Amino acid sequence: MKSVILIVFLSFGTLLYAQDYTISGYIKDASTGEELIAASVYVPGTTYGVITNHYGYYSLTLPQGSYTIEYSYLGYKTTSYIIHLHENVSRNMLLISTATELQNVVVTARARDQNIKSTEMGTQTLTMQQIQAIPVLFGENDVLKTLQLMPGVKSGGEGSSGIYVRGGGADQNLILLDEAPVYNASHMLGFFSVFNGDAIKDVKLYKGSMPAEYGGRLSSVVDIKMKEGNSKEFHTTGGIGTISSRVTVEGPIIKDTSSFMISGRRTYADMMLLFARDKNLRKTQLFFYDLNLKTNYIFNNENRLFISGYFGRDVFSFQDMIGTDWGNATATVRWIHLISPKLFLNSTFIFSNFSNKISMNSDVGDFDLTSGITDFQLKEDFQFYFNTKNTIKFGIDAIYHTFSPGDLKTNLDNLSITLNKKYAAESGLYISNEQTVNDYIKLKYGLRFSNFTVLGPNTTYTYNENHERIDSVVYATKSIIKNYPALEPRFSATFVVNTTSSIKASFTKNNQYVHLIQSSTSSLPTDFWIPSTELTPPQKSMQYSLGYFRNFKENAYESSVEIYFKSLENQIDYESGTNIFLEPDLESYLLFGKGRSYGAEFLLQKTQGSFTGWIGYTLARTEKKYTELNNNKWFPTRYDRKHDVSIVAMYQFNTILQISASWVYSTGDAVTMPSGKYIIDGKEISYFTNRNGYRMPDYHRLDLGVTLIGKKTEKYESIWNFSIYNTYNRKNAFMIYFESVNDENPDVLQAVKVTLFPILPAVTWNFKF
Amino acid sequence: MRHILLLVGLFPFLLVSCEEVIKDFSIQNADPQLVIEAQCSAQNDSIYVYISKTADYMNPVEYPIVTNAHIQLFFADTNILIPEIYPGTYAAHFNFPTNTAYALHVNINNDMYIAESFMHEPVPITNVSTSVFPYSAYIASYPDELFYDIHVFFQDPAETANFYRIKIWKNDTLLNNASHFIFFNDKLFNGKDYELLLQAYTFEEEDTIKIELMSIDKSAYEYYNTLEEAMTSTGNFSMPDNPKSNFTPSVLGYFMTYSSSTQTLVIKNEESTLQEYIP
Repeated sequence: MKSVILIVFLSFGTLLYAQDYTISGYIKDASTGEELIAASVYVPGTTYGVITNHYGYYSLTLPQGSYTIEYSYLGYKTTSYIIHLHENVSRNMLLISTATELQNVVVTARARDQNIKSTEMGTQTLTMQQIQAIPVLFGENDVLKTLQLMPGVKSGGEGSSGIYVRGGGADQNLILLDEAPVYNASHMLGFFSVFNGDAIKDVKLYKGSMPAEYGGRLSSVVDIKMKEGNSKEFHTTGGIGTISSRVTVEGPIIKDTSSFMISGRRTYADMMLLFARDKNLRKTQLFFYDLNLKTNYIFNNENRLFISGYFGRDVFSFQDMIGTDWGNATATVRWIHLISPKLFLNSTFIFSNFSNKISMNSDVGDFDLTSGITDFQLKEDFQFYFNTKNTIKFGIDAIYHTFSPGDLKTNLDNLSITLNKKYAAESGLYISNEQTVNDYIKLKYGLRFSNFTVLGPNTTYTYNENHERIDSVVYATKSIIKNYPALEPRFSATFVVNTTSSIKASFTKNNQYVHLIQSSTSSLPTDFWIPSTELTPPQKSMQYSLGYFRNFKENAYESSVEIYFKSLENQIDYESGTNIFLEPDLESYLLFGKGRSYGAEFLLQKTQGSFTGWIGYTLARTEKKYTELNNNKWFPTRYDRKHDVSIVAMYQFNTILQISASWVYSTGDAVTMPSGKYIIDGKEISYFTNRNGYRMPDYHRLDLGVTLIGKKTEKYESIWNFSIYNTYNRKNAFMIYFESVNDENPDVLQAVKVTLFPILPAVTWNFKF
Repeated sequence: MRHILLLVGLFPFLLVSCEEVIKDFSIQNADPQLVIEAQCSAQNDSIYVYISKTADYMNPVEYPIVTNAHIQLFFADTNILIPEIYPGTYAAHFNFPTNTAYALHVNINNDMYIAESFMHEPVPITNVSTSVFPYSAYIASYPDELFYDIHVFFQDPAETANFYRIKIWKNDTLLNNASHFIFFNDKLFNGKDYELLLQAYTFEEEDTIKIELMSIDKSAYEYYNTLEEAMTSTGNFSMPDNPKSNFTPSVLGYFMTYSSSTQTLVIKNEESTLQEYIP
């Protein structure tokens, strides 16, 4: 199938547009050799232009003639040159980072009016410079926490790295690290993300109109690319921070041909316990670590190979009594092949695993509880620069999932439980075209066909209303239990009003076949993934959005307003009192409901000059409805926050000093609290009325940061980073409980809030040599 | 389990966390709701029914009682009336047969509430024994004290799904707060000889301990299962719901029949166990 499409496109390309020529190549950082993603290549004064793809490749087809071509990228000097195009030209371009001139990072240039002209809406791009400049908890730079500062993205609460995009759930984000899905992107109950900033090159978030090449999650795609490694010279960078230390080594294996990057991070919160008075506490382990590896080899201009991997673990143990070990491992092998200057092929093999193990030892017996998910994936992605007006993408991908929902091993012979492993194949076939219709209209339309196949071996059951098995069917290995095919149209359009403003609209349909079962609203290692089966239908979503984009002062200020409406189907919850652990009949307890989310997102951004930053505001509502819950009435989800404001500002005083600040405000989380009480069995029992009918107090917080360059020479750089989390010591409520006012009247209660983080300073020393 | 993990994970942060009374958060009390609790025991040959209403959460003052209900219990070919012995408390005595289905009809101001329950055969406790709690030394608030665990043995009937609740009396006082609420089913040990460990109860030498093993039915088990969530007072990290009642139409509360077996023991100093124990 794909080869037929390929041949058709190839012949069109050569037959119909033979009078056009193509200039193509990679755009790279001049000092490190890192490819630049979404760098802009355009011909000023015309509509001709493209941006580099995820791998830094561009291909621009123009009619024969003379052109001035400008290359630009956020944070780099714009470079232009004149070419007389009368044959296909391969041109790799090196751009010089403005950071090398100013001795520190200032976001200065940008592909001018890219935000106006592109078909992209509901997307956010972050560079590592931005992520590093923004103050965060414990000074631990965090990709996901920085995304939380964007409109439409809500955090999972105090200190959390969890992201909830346009009303979506925690499991509805497709988080990709070098294209490998990361199933649990957090450490330490969600307080830190697994992404070590030193190893990351680029982050892109799709909130709405996901391109057709992505599928499998309802709410968002977070596409994170690791650094390739400096292909010109060796460098060691690192940092010693308040809770963790990092070190990264990168350099050429063969100069300009092959490079590597290896990066590690470990926290040492448990080291403080070494000084604990209680000797038993000293035996406690509590830390996490991350390891990122990447290497590449450029065979020639047409062929390059990349291999990357991630391994991270959370380790906790308390004496010999209880221990946990959980984390992710991913691996990506990617081969980029240029079939022609216009046709780019990316072949990828991906491995991803999330597993967790909880061990307990007691005098009754020893227990080991394990669960996890493992994926093997193959992808073929073609990008075809058809002509000046059309860029076509098409491809296929296939994932083989193995789900291990739970396995309890004990040394007691009669207590071991193994829940059946579940197997499934998830496949996708897509084609999309980005078309410049004329100077005013740009379209991007695509279709994704996705299919989920539940595979044997397995035994499936049907249940009565008492959750009792009434029938069973045994399926053999590789036999098909159930197929869920679906068509997912993706459409977006841009109407360029004038050089400084545009109107955009988009429509997206998504299906999700893997689901996270959570025991509570915080991220716990006991959460596990289950597939869709004959009893658990896929989650589905539809999203409509409309946006107005406007730039001011020669693109120095960018602003946008986007409104969206999203409907969700088959949202999973479970009946109250369900014990989700090791429940072989869990599926009979699952409830499927509807969801809806709508809102408006405002963003005003300044990207140039020594003063940069943005103001984001989201007005939104997210609700769910289940026949079996809350009397079949709509109820708000926990992260339904009506108002959500973030203000981020960075100011570069001079070459050695930069200050930054961020302030966030949001409506309190929706929580379920009692509305009365009664006595049962001699105990006081809470009476509940509306699910999530109460609100926590409003949340707000100011963080400040200072970046100071201690020393900088050709060979050595020393940077100090000071930050203050929760500067005015706002006592935000992390949880609320009730206690007696005094001992004389034990029945009279008062509400008590627990504040997790008071004002917390942090310092990090970063070095580079 | 999840609470342990949550606490453990939060541990380093709890070092910096703080607590204070807040004024800008208030509970909106709902209108008083009907609560019926009915327990019929083959062990005590009795049925007690308590009818009341919900009260103010922050300051209950008193739980309103419901009087003048007309209550009837149907079982086998019999039915008995359950009279009001105190305001809001209804009780009767009878030699209630086990392995029998019961139906309770409660008429309050001409509104009828009906619930059914099945009384299973009792499951005998075959043995009880004690051992030293191995982590006594770690309980910092009780230095140099030894605590005992209690092991309860019984043979689970193989042919039926069984549901249990355990009640514990320490020196004639029923341990009745939320952490002493023990109920379970036989899913993991159907038909087996089972040893249940009661740990971390701070039982000491010379304590007289009485154990009651109650055979409850599935609806009571489900009620308890959903009740547990409502006993933890707030929904900071979950969305608690009211427990699943077996009354139709649904009210707060439940009707349960049960049979039980009991064992009593006095904890003695165990030299052998003591020697094995190395703090």
